Amino acid sequence: MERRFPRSLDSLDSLFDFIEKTLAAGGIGEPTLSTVSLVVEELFTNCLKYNRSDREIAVRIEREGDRVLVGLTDFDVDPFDITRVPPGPPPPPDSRGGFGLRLIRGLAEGVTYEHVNRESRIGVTFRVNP
Amino acid sequence: MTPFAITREGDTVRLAGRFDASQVETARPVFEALSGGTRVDCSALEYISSAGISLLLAAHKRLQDAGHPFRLHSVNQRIRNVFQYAGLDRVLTLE
Repeated sequence: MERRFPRSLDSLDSLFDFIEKTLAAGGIGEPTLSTVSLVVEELFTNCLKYNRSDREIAVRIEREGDRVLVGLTDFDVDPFDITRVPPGPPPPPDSRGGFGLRLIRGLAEGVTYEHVNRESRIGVTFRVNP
Repeated sequence: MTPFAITREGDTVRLAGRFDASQVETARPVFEALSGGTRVDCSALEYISSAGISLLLAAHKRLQDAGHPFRLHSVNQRIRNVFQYAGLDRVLTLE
């Protein structure tokens, strides 16, 4: 199932609602729900921070066996391959940010990226927790 | 998941529900008003993302630099895992 969301923090409530209902339709609840919600929030807010386009952001969620597959597409955007950013050391005590990518990498089973026709397409795989 | 709520009573800040990026501006004034040792009650906190973590970390740094403790209390395992993946379980004081 895919839906498009306006590029705004105000979209988060409807985004979480979409995730919850889509996963529930596939018989998936906690703790997978929180994991998927957190990773999608990090990806979505990254799009808000780094792309000033006014285009909506597309989010697709589907279940495939014991996996949840999430796709997020950002339109009219320069390439930024999140899979090629070095993991880096833990943040120093005075750090105030940069945790989003660490969370995505820690919580997802796999992350893919492609940039085609000024579209960033991010794919994230999660194993469904029993 | 329950809506986000933040309350302060003396030196205790209570967080509840889903602390996502859209709630940061609600929470920011509460954390920025802290000026002494603080205990953050996370017993009803169900979710936190990097935006909320950054706010906690900024308060931790500011208060610790001033010689005041900043402790997170009753953090459930799911939230602990998030701090761990963010690399902050050894930076923030979790009780």
